[in-house]
Amino acid sequence: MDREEAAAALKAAEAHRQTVRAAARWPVLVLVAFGCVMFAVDFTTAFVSGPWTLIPASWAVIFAGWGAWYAHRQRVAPLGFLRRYLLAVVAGMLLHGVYLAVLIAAGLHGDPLAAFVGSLVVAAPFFIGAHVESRAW
Amino acid sequence: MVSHPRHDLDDVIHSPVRMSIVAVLAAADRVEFAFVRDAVEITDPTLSKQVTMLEKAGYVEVIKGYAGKRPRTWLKLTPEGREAFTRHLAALRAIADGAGLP
Repeated sequence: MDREEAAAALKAAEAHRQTVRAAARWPVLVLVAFGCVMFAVDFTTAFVSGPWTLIPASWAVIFAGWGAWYAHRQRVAPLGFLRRYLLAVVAGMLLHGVYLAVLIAAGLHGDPLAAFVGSLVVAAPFFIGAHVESRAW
Repeated sequence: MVSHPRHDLDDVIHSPVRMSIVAVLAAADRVEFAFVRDAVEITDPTLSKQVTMLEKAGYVEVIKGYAGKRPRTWLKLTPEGREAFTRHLAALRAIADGAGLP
């Protein structure tokens, strides 16, 4: 093998990497969608109580099912996506717990500003994850 | 004395078709069989044959599953395969850079 053949082989490998990269952008959509859903869930939760809280909670459950179905249908599973996805989910769930605790403890239930800021904080790990995912290659 | 970087090329990956297959798989955690076939522009039987060789070398893992009711096959590079591809690329880069030349 000479220098030109080696360079051509490297160029072909890079071209294949780019092809796979183009097909591996779907996690960005999933994370942005998850962020939007979590924002809607937490914002709505601030204005409902009792059994009505099951309605926003059901959005999260429905989305989680859709996300798993959508991810399973994809032709390319990006390297390290599951780890990054779980990190965003765990961070989002922890913030969700803190948000609910603050709403109850500080008597902010029904406060639009607290609901908006809190929901944005809970959704932030998913939006940050989407940003990181879009720059992961 | 063995000093030229061509001696570090991996015999299994060295074939252009297998090199392409491994290059596709190296860029992801796992890739669907049909995607690899389309990306490398080969037929199903050719890909099956090459994947069998890569599997025997311990470089590729074949995962069978379902998407709904449709059977699907996934291909995944093993840690050994990923390591071999990294070494192979390093050897190619050394050759392209002119290492080992008098």
